[in-house]
Amino acid sequence: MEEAAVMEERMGLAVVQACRALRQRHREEEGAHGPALAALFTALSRPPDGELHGKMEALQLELSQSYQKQSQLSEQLLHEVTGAQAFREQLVERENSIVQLQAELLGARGRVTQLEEELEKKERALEASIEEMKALRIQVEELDAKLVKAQADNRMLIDRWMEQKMKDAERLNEANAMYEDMMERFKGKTLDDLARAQVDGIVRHSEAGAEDYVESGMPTSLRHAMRAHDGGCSTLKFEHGGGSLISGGHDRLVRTWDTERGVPLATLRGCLGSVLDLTLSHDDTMVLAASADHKLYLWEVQSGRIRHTLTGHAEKVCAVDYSKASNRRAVSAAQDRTIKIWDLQTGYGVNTIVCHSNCNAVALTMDGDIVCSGHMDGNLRLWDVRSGKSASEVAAHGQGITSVSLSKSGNAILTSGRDNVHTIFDVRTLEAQASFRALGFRVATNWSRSCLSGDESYVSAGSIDGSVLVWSRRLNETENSLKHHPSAVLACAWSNVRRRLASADKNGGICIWE
Amino acid sequence: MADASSAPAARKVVVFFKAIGDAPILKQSKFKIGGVEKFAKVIEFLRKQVHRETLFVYINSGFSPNPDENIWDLFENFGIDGKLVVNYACSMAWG
Amino acid sequence: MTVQARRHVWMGAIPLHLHLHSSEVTSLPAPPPFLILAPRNGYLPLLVDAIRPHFNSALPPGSDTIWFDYEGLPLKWNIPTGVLFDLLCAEPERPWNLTVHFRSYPAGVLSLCEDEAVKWNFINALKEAFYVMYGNTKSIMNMSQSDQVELWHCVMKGDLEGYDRLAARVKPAFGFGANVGRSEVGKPGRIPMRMYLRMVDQDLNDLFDVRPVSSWDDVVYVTCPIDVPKRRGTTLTLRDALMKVVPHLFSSSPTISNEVTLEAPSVMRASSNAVHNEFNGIVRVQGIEPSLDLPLDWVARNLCGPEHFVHLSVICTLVAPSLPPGAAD
Repeated sequence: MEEAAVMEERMGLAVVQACRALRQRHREEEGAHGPALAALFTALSRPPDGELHGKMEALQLELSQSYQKQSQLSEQLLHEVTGAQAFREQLVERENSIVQLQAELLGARGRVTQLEEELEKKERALEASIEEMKALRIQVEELDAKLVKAQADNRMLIDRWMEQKMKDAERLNEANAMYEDMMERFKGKTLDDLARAQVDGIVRHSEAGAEDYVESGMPTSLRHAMRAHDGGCSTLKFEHGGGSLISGGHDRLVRTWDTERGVPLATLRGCLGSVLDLTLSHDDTMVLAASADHKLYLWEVQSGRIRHTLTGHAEKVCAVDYSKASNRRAVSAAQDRTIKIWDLQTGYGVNTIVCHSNCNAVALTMDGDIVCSGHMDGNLRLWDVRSGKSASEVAAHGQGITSVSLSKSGNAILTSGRDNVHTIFDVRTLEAQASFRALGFRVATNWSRSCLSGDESYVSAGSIDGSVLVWSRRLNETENSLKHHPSAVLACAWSNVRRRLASADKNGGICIWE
Repeated sequence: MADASSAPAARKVVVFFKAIGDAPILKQSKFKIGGVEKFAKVIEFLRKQVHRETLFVYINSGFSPNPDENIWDLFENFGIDGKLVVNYACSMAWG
Repeated sequence: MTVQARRHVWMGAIPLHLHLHSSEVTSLPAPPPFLILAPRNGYLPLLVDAIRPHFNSALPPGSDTIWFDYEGLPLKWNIPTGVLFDLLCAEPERPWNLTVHFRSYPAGVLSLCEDEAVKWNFINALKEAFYVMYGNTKSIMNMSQSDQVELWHCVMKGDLEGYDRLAARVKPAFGFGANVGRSEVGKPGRIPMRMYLRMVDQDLNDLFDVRPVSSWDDVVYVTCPIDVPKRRGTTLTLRDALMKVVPHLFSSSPTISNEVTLEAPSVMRASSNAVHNEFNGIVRVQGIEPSLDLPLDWVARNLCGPEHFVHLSVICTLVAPSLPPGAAD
């Protein structure tokens, strides 16, 4: 405690000393110099002796004061000027920014208008698309309506079609009924026919051209069997006046055969497609073949040279026949639904008949003025060669006609159909004279050729099972079935001079029967 | 001052810069500065970083120290949590 | 007496004898030197309005910023004039001869002194002091702008009464004036102190021919708040503060144990210091060289500047020589 008291005393002393020191310092500094300075200033400013001097002093003071003021003013002016300068700079800056902002505003306005335009455009496009859509909707409605109508039409057409079908069926029934009726009539007439035939035979023996006439007999035995054409033999014909046989096949060849010995005589080449049908000129000098390459080829038999290649058909030519009256005329039928009449002298087609149904077989009448054609629709049609107009028409078969052949006399036409029926028509009246059918007999192709013997008393046709059927016209029933062919028989032909029958099959074999 | 005699050159002060108002913010906010430097150095450093000629620099959001003041002193007297908080502004922030 | 001391501090002024630098003299004859009293707590640039008219006629054209040098050293305007005098004028000369400049401002050495830089320097110093004392600057921040301006005017005019009046309006209680009541609540935690340390290579007894300070780098400038002990009955002295800040300037005695710390009761130290610990330097506050026994509390209240900082100018020898006792007094 004593130390604390001592300390306190020392501190108190220090304070006192400090105060004293401050007073001392005051006395030395401001205390001493203040009054001295004041005195100095007053001494300077107080006018000493003399009024003039006083005045001068006063003026000097005034001058110095004015100097001071001036300096202050100039300082102030400088300040103001710098201030003004700053303000001006600011102003310029502001103006610049205003200009800039105006430019920006202009730009923004431009963009606004641009955007507005775009908006308008888009709105327009939208409207247009809406209208388009409306139009489309209307179209759709229209199409719907059309569809409904078309469906109704379709239904109606189907109804009509069905109706037609019914009618067809009715007609078929009628035909059947007619057939039955005819059959009965035939049976009734058989005895009459027998008597008449005997009478006819006598008469005919004495008629002109009797040397050509050979009475046909029922062939019973095989004389020759020949391999003729690779790929099948589709057609064969006997020479009108000779014993040679001519055949055509899928090997594109036409061959002539010695039927006596059963050997080939000659081969006619040049055809570029399968030979589907062929015919001989009346004088046996020319062979005309119908080919699958849409053409017809005309050979000279003697030289084996092609005289003409007949072009004009657009499809397979499936049937051909030579005029018996003129060597210049021939007729052909093709799968292009046309029948063409040809001038063989020039090699040009002279007429084209367009049919509704494909024609499978053609034959020219003896005078060469009428073409008989058998069609897929089962109709037998007769055409005027010169005018190309339809002369007559008869529904011969329930299905397509495969063969049309004219009798040697030219009075009767034998037709075969896919209904496996063979019918003989009177050329002039187109009345069916006789029909032939057999159990198990079936026509092989659309172009299966049947034939009529020279005395018109036998009908021969090949069946799909390889048998050759021969019907006697007098008995109107199957008289014989010749069996040797291993495959479907496509064509058969009677010889005019000998009592021979030739048949060709799908394998290309040819059989000659006696 | 007692410590100053030991290793004055080695002592460094972590200075934490905080921007005020519209002053740009530094990528790096903490710097180490030698304790013997004057505060003027901090001001100069900031001016360069911020690219401003006029800059108002404060300590602890309170006052602007005299540029002559020693950074170590400032740190000793006003440092918070081991660092010296220096605020800077482009306009006067605290009257 | 204490009131008197504070008034002396506030009224303190140094007579200046100003010479215009020869490079700026454009009139013939050269303008005579100018005599003026510069307030100790003021700042040199504030004198410009009084000085410029005197030299105006002699100045060359151009803009001017006033600055001063003493023996070639540009004077920092942000340091109170009295501190500059106590620090730089080792052996006080009255009037103090300074050279005044209006051109070629040494921007490399001095910070720029723009429009209100002096005022802001003062305000910031005030805030810093408050931060030291109370840990924040709220009191100053909360001051109205007009009060701040008025406070600054009081400082410039040396109006102590006006200053105290304004200070009384600030909470926590502002200032240490005798007429300002101090409550325990408002008691500052630390005392803001700023020390300027100047080394001289000469005997402190004879400072007449001391080498003038050539660069500010030679002056150590320390802001050193001193903690105010919380315990009642303990009073710190100026010596305690110096012991903390510049212990190396005390000549230690073997009888003093190293365990003596700042926290130890000053009473204990005071007794031993009185005998053994001599301070090897000169301390100047407000133009006086006080006894180190001076209570720090008193110093803070009476010898501080208007910005509340206690500015200590310390002159000491470069290499601590064995000084004869009493040199510090």
